[in-house]
Amino acid sequence: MSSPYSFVWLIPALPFLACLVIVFLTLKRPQVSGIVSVLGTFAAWCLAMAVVVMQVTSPSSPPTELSFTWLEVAGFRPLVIGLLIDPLGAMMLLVVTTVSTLVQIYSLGYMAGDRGFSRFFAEISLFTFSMLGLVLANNFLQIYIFWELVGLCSYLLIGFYYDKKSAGDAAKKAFVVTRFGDFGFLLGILFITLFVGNYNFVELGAMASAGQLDALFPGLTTIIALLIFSGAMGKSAQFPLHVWLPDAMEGPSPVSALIHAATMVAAGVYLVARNFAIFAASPLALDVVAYVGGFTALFAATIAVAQNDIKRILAYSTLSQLGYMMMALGVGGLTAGSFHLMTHAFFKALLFLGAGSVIHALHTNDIWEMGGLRHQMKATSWTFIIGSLALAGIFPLAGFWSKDEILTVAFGGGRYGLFAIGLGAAFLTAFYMFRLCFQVFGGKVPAGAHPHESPRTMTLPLVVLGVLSVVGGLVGIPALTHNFEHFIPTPGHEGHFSLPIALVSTLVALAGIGLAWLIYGAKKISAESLRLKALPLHKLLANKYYVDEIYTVVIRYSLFVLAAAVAWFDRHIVDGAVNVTGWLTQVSGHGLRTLQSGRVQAYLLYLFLGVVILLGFLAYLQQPGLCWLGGAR
Amino acid sequence: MTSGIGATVIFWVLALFILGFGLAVVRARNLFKAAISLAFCLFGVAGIFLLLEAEFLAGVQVLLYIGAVTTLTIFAIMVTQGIADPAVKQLNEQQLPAAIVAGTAVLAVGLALVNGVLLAAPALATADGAVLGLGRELLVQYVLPFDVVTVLLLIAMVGAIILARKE
Amino acid sequence: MNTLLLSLNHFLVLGALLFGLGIFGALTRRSAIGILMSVELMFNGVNITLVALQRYLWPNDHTGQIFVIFAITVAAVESAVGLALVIAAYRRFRTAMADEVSLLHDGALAMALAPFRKMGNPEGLAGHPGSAPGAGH
Repeated sequence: MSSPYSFVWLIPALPFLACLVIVFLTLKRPQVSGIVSVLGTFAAWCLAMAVVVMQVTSPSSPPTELSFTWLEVAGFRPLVIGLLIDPLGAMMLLVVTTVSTLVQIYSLGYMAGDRGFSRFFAEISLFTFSMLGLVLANNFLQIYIFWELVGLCSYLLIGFYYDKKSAGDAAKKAFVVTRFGDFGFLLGILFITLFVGNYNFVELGAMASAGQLDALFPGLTTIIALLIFSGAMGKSAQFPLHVWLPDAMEGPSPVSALIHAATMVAAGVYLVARNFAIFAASPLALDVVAYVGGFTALFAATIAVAQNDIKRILAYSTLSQLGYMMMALGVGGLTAGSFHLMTHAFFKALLFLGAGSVIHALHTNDIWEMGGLRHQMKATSWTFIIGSLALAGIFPLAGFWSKDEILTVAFGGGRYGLFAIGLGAAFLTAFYMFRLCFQVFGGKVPAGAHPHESPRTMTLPLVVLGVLSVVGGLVGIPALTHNFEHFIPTPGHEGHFSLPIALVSTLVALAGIGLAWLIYGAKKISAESLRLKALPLHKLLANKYYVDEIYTVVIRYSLFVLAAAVAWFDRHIVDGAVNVTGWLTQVSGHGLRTLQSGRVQAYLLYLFLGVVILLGFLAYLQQPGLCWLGGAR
Repeated sequence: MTSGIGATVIFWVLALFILGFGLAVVRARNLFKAAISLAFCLFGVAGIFLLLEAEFLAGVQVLLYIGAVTTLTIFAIMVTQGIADPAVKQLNEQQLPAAIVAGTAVLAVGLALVNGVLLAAPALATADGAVLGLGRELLVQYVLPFDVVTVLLLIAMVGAIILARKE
Repeated sequence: MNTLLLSLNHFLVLGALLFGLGIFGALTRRSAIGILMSVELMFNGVNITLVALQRYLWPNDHTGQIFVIFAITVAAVESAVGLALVIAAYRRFRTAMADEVSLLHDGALAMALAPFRKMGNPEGLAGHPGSAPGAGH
């Protein structure tokens, strides 16, 4: 392999190595485990940085693929696996390694003294490996493997406190709900196997663009795109399958930051972005992506307004932002979607780590039991507020540029409905984030609480992520000639910065912040009276539109009945068949046992009986040689 | 010897003799009595051999079977104490199936004879010097099996000694 | 020559009856020696048949008689070895009943191995007391 990128395989390999080292060598030495894990991921970050630099300095080069044949089966196309390196992948590599490194440094402090310290780092390293493998995969089969691996790591880490029932339940829920989406994804891969037999992203994309997929089977592009999107919906927690993500907050905060805010949940967005060519070839699929994304963005934002748990607010915010990204991709904004993915990763990780820091200090998740933290926890407060501003999309922070780009694409594409949804979500985002900020950092410290700033290992990543949240958007500003848009260009689509839209979105965000200030900061409007005025609405939102309850009812009355029937069938018919086999064997064994009495004379009896029967049988057959028996005449 | 009223009478007497003592061999409660019955039964068979003009065989039968085998059997009965005790049950539980099987086997032969081609085969005249011809055939034509049988006897002798001696 | 009175079939039927009697005895006698004696009856039934066939069908050929000579020899061998076996079995099992000499039923193995127990480790070859209660017939 003479490619300059031949070192790329090391990027996922290093965290994997760290995981192996922890599992097999340092499980009993937590400190060493932490260091090993951080070093492994940091080394991967250095290499990822090199990849990004190489990609940026050689713009518009074709994607590099390092692949080799894995399996050759007669009658099938050889199965090729490999690494795909292009700007999108490079960006994801950087995002994943950056956030993972920072989260792990943060965890050194956050998880200190935990019983499962080493296990935590082993799982985080395994996750980092899987996520990097997912990012680098160059075909559907490979990405599916890593897709499931990150799902497994997510399961393990949500259920990290496995002795807590809610954590175990949340882990199972996350696993099972994403499975619904993955079912579609797998079906999509099977469709590809059936009709195309080629899993390579680049080649499939080229075929889709050239209309060759539809030539193979009418509507194949749409079918494949929608099935892939169903996988993305599960992973990125889009509307009908969103229920697992808020529950996933049972995991430790660093896990929420890394997996359930910055990286894994973005894998769905990444999957769509990676196969954008296929989606672009099917307007219907794009519309589905856009409307599911837009609906989720608004839907989750409304729920976030009425939540009390700091991590759940952030979780619904994540849902909303993922919906935003999907919407961006759906309206054709590949650049906008991936850009928002990157900036969101930074500031959402920051917010989760900040929330973790707050929880670490106060030992509660309820925002109404918090307050006045701006004095005691300066670093956490300021970085959290920076993150909130970035999320709200205030100039010139990262969120402003990416969110603005999405709105511009939506407006430019004439999708005014989606544009309005985007604006509404932006307003709600600003509102609920500052409702949170004013409550937690403003006001007075609740009685009896003695908050203290978190250790250095925790504040350092906060600061770094804070800086990234500020400057992360600058790669996308229109003033630069080699900005993000040139790095990941949207095919056939050129988004232009539009001052009116920027102004409108900023004003909307400021309005949200202002409203939050009126209610929760200055307390000019009583939150309680407002709540009483819109009691049914509040109840609806606080209970997350009763989606979980509806699912429970549906499952109880459909799935459980079906399951009971299947269980009955399994227990009585399948097991019955098995049992009858065993019973028959036993009975025949008992019967035959009497033949094997051990008495020689009994055997002799059988022998003579056999002779007699044989004689009779031969006579019956009328063997000519046995005519003397009266047979043949 | 296979013709004439005398021969027929002798045959029937011998047949009853053989089957009667044979039944005693099979059914006698006392094993010792069974062994003695066996000797008589074999004696009757020797008579049948004479009737069939196989004088040499009749002699062998008396010498070997009655003289050696039956004696050996009686010795064995006496050595294994208690085996001939009339108080010990001498017959097992599979009387009925055994009777059915044995009866069917005899019935098969009977059927064969009723339907058989050999039904009315007449007794042919015999050549003189039966024993002479027998000896000549045995030691000329069948000399190899004859020798092999001697080896077999030797092996049996050694084997019996090894099996029956005390460890 | 009065073939009407004494035909080949007389002898054949006699041989068959003796053979059947032997089968019956071999199947019903409990003692091993009794079985051996029954087998002798079967031998004699066959011998009668062989000699009769030879006499009636091939009177100038002695092969049938030679066959009988071999059969008698082999029967002698059989009874010699068989009786030696009976005596050996009697020594080991303290019985000469064929239906009691069985290694397949519970406890028989232990009984058969009893003479070896004194030599080596008593537990290793001491049968299987645990299997006795559950595996009863």
